[in-house]
Amino acid sequence: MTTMSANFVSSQALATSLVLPAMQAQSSLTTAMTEESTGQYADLGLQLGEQSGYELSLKEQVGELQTLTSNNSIVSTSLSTAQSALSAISSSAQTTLNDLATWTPSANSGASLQNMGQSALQSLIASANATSGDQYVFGGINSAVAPMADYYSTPASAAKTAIDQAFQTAFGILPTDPAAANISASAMQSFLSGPFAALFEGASWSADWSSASSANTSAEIAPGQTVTTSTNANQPGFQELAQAYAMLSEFGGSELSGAAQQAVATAASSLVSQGMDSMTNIQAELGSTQSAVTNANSSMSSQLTILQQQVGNLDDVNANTTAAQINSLTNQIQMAYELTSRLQELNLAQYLPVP
Amino acid sequence: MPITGANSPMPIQSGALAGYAALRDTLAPEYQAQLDQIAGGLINAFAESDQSATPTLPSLPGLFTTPGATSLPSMTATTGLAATIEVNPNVDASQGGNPNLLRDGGISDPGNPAYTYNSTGSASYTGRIQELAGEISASQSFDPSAGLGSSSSLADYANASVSWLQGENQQASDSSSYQNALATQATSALSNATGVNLDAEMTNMLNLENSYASSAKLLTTVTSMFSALLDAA
Repeated sequence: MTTMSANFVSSQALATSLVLPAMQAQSSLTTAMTEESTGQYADLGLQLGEQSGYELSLKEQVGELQTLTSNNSIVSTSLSTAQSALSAISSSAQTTLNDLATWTPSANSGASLQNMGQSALQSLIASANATSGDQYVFGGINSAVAPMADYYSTPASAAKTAIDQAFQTAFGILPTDPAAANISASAMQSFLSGPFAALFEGASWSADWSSASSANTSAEIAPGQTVTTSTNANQPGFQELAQAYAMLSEFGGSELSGAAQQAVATAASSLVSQGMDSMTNIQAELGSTQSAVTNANSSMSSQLTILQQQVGNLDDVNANTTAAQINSLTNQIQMAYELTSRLQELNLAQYLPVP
Repeated sequence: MPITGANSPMPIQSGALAGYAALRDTLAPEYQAQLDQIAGGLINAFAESDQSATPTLPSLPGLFTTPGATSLPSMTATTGLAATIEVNPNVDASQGGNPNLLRDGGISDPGNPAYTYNSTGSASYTGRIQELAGEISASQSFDPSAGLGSSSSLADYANASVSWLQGENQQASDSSSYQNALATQATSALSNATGVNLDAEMTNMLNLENSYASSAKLLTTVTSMFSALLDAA
């Protein structure tokens, strides 16, 4: 006869009462152990729910900042390469300027002018073709092609041919012709400032001397901050120095008279100092970009710290809490087993005397 | 007689069948619509426009496209886009394409100068790539019937879709643990109502045994009394 009351418990319910809590504790235990070992929520989406999108956008921002930071290191390298090449160009220009200041026309002085011009021009071309990675830093956006071709190549370079032609047009002879000794200093001066100077400007410069693009490369150095990250070999500084060195190299060792050579040296000297000024300006521009990159990096790095902390707040579990949770779950399961086995013994038949 | 769906006169409200039906009828189609919208947005964000001084040609699918596409997808008819979207073979080196087109433009129609952004072929041209990066976070329009609004950036839209899905996930999980607890309670109540308690039954049995034993004892006593009486006679 069954007694129905509020306190009535069927044996079946009593025996199985602890099975479900034990199972739930076991499943929580696997989750907690995953979280303990990874440090993150086992099911992030379930944990965050509607906040998942926010979490993703934070992670996107972190990724963007990390990409920009690593790109900035490439930008910095190429800027440093450009700076050191510009320093080399400036110091070679300074040397040339010093040599020109002490130079006086004499019997063999032409050859020394020529050597001065040739070594300076070669070093200018080498520096202008400086590379960072496999990119020519003075190429503008056309960074896959060397900006300046070898002037002393065989067969004669386009630049050399153009200079010879201009001289021939002006005086009817080549500089190496003995008759060149008859060219007056003033005629030489007007040639240098006229047809010769025109070879180093605009279309002639692009055709004969430079393969660089006048468009500079640009890069995003911080979110929304795009800066010009290079200069190019079409800048006036390169043109002025190339002009000065080419005139020394071409007309220094020629048959020109001492007075005409003096005119060449004077013209070259003023061009070199102009060129050095221009180079200093370029260095200053690049320097300001370099400092912009450094500033962008430091501001992005502090931003990254904040963002990563925010991401951590969302998806990291507290290791101490999880460890405590695992402990209590283990205890709970042990307790459930213990109680289940006790309940099994809780049977009236056990307490009756054996008949 | 349908027990789920729009035509059901009395649809079931809970349980596995109701869940599967909800998944089939509302959740999966809505999520698919969102994925299709994302695919459409992606194709539109990477579209290439006519670069001529006076543009006359329509914009075409660039990096992302669908097989045989000849125009940009309309955002109100994107069904099935997510299943067919692909990287344009013209830019995929493994399919004979030219990856440089990503920098130069002209993926939609290689060799057509109208769609070429880097006309000089310069190696360090970054204009197009910077433009593409900007497009991902630029606002564009979406079909509001997918449930995530009509205008946002592609990145935000995709994030909103994840939020929606995980929100549903959380709700379903909460409701499932509630139903579980309810089921446990109901099971034990049912067992209490229809089951027996062995101790109570054992006690009853002992009672019966004892009364049987005492009845027997009584019978034995009566028998012996009768025997004594009859023997005396």
